[in-house]
Amino acid sequence: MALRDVAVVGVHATEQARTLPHRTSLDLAQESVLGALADAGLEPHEVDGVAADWPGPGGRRGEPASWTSVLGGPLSWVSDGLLDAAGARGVMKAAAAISAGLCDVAVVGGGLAGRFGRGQTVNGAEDFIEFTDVWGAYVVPLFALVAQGHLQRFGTTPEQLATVAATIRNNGSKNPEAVMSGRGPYTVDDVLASPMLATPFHLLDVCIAGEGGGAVVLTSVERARDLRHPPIAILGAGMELSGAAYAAPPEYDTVGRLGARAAQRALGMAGLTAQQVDVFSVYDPNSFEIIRQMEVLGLCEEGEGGPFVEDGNIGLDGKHPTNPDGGCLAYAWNGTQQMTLKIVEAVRQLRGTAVNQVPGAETAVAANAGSAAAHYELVVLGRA
Amino acid sequence: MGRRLPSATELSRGFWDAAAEHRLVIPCCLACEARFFPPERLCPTCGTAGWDYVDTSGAATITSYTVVHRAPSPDFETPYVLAVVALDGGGRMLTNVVGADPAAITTGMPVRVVFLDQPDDRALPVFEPTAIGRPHEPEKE
Ligand SMILES: [Zn+2]
Repeated sequence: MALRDVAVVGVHATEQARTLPHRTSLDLAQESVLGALADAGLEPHEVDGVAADWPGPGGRRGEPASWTSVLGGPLSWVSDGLLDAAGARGVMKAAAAISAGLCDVAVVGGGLAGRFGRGQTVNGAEDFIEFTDVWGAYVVPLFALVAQGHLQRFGTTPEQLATVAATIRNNGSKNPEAVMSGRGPYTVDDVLASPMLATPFHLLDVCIAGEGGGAVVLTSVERARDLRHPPIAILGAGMELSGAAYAAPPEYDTVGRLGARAAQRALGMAGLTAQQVDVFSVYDPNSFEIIRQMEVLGLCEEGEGGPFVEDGNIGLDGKHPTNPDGGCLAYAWNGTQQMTLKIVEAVRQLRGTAVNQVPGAETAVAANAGSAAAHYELVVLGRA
Repeated sequence: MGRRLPSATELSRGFWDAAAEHRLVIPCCLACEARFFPPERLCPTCGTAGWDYVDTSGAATITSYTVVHRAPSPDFETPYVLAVVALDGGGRMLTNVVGADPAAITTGMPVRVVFLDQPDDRALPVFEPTAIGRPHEPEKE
């Protein structure tokens, strides 16, 4: 079995909001996993592979085998570690395990509640990072350092950044599940008029922070044929890491092209060029990261991302529709499981059931990244 | 502004001890003489374990910067400049640029180290533009 013989067969996203005071991380994680299984038409006891958060209480915090109390039978395969239980990394590792014959049905996902309050800045790390925090660095200005390098080197403009933010936020405005549902529409000027956080990022250039959960279920394409939905195969995958998150200062010269090699690997495996992919569900912690990813994915040349987005390429009616659900900018950012929501949206698009459906979408790229371009993961998905 | 400084680790103790004396030091590999920052046990250039902290001239050039208007904690007065600087003699570090209008900062700008004394007899190295800064502080010994 190869990676492309494995499919996503079930998806679930919980409610998403800035805070979910009536929920716990465990209840969101359990709703996500059980919801994705119900969506697939699989019973909990059929799961034998788990890469999902176990936040406790009960079981043992951080230990995926705790899921046996929910799922029933013994497990054949687990993967632990924060980023292994979410998104493209979780999906590619679970798919690799299934294709290697280590397990048959795997779940990836989790949930987060009770962590954020209003007005807090979000630093991806929970511990103090010695040579980062002392100078007032956190995720927004660290990403801003990379973006500033691109503006300076290629003449990318704040208006081009704002075009990304307005486009994706306006998608989210039309998504009833989005945290920012009904907000907007936003113009480029609205984005530029919002308060400056760290040059070149205005408030509306940067994603929301919130809570919620999500999960996906994978099994072999062969087994998937008997399930409820058309199987969505893992056509290709890749990851790339530049170093430990936030340890070394990020600059465009050193991390700006992060993801290019991963994209080549994943798209090469899929036998596709980026231009042939119908829809993109990619990490958008800020407007610039979309411009950077359009370039590293190969949709345009390095330095051309600004004019590329200004030409309408990433809009719902554009050549390369990007984040139709509103992405992290307007749909949801919830810690780690926003990564899984990228898979959920790509699968819905390929099933033809998405809220802002791209007509006839047959292939999608779902990608995660983070920590100011310290890591990049993507999967290429397609109808099997 | 008072900053929360971390407890030194076995790798960083030499850095913070020197900073308290207003000296900027960074690791320099004994085998290949590469200078690097932040400190790691093995030299990122050649992979060997032996290095010593060496004094720098304190002169550097801004390679990337952002003007931060929203701080992660009330310890920081906004706006402030977060920057990456390339030290003369090698090595790059994250830092703040102080003593200048943030709007006047550019990449390529020469800067030199100054120290923000903290309440606990420690000090944090930051940089200010060479052209408009005060004369270089004499090194304490
Ligand atoms: Zn060396």
